[in-house]
Amino acid sequence: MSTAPLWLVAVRNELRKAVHRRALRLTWAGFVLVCALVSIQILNAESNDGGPLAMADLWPSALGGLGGLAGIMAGVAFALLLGSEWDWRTGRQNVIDGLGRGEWFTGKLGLLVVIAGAFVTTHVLTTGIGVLVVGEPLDGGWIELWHVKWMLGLLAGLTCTLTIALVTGLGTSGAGAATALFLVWIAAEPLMSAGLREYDDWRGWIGEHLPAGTFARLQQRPTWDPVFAERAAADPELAARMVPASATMLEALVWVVILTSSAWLLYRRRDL
Amino acid sequence: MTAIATIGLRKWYRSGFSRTRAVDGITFRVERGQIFGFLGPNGSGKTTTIGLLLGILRPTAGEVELLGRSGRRGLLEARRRTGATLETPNFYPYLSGERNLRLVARVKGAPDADVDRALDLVGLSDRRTDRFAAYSLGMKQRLALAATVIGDPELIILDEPANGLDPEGMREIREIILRLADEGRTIFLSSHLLAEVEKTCTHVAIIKKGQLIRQGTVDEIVETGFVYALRADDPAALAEAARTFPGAREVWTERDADADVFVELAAREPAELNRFLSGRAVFVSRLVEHRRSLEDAFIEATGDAAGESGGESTGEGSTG
Repeated sequence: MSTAPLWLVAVRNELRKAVHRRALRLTWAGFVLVCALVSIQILNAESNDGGPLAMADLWPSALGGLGGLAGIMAGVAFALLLGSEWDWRTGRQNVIDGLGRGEWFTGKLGLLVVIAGAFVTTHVLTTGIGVLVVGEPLDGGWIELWHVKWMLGLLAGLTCTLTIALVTGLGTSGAGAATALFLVWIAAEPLMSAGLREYDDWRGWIGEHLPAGTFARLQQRPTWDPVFAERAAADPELAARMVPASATMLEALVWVVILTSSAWLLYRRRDL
Repeated sequence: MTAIATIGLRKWYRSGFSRTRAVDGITFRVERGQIFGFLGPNGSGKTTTIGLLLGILRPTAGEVELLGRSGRRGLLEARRRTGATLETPNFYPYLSGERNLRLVARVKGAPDADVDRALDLVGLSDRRTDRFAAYSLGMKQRLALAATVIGDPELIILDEPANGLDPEGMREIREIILRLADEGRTIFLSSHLLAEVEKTCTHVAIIKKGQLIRQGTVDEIVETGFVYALRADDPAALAEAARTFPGAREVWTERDADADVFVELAAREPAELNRFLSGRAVFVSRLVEHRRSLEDAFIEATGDAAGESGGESTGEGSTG
């Protein structure tokens, strides 16, 4: 008889189910392809500049080159996985079989973190291979500390984006609805953000700090590159426009907590 | 020892300004070791009641006790000692039957050997590696039954376990249920197949429009009093003579019945009746105690043909 705590059993079961799920495999394979294509494109552009390429200079192009694709693809995969539990009524069968609602939810959170980690790792490895192939460890070495921080920022940002899919997956009753609502959110948030930023009061502040926008900022070089921080220190106007990396990370974590709590409340109160 | 007890269990759905009473104050008990049939027309609240027992629906009011435990923690613990299916078999279609059962086994903390035993029990060992999506309806039902026995549960709750099965499949399911009951487990099952319930269950409850209208042993439910079915060469003379018997309460005939005349007596005295009829030169060729079927009792109790009438609208979610 197994003695593992049930929340751990739930997480393991989620991973066992996920690795066999074609929707996740296809989305992930598509992501690998996109990463590879973007990597090739970026490295080709860098190569055209001529001269030896410093690895430390290639990382920013590699890490920032995907735009919002990682969030969209990972979010769609997660929404599909989560929403299917309603389509197949397996979510409620899991509870009937003996999982508490809290343990079931924890299982999904574990899956969320693993998917975020897998997509960021895929991104870093796929583009990193390009960096290793084309670049040379000139003065800056192989990699700098702020590149690693940037990678952690991508993980936090992607986790934040996946919690949006967690909310849509638990707030709707099917994979199609969960995925559609997630995509609508991702498409609508920049428009809403732009509208709110027209105001100079608290509404403008909210417009600056919406969850998908937070991930977008965590993907951008100025958030992480110390050169920009130095420039901002000397230029109050630039400093006013820049949000420090630590504050953006904190913002992402706050959104993770808010969205996860909302998803839990939605799930806890609903009939399965 | 009580396996299931509900007190004033209620589930009301709100839809705009209206309120639908899917389950309306149900109180019943299932003792350990019983095979308990839970019957009712479509939409009467059977599946909603089972959903409330299993914790997937939030009750509007009332209490549930499973295996002597109540409260959120207690019920969660009791549900781990319970095997159950609700409505259709719910499994991951892209996983094999075996993989699906292994997921269940891990939740229940059961060894892998339980999965093998369960597959053997329902006769799916040969198809264990096939994807669930490729199973026939009968195989899906059998896999659902296999899932319920993993972890050696004390209580098994089955919602329409023989739905969609052919007669042979129904017989197999019935035999499995009886075998599980012989092992000392309590079985709670809802079904539209009243003949199957009559063959399988020791106790039944009948629900209509969210309310319990009959509960008791199968014998109690089908009990008709002292009614006897008689046959003779001259049915008219038989009926006339029977009406003059001092202990006869009522005498009637039924079209398409397997007897000519039915006689309800005030007491269990068929020998007296036979002697009385012989004395009037009416010789019966058949005299048996008349026992109505569960279907007759069900129709009488619900006022509907089995499974064909809608009960009160049950609003959103699943009701059965």
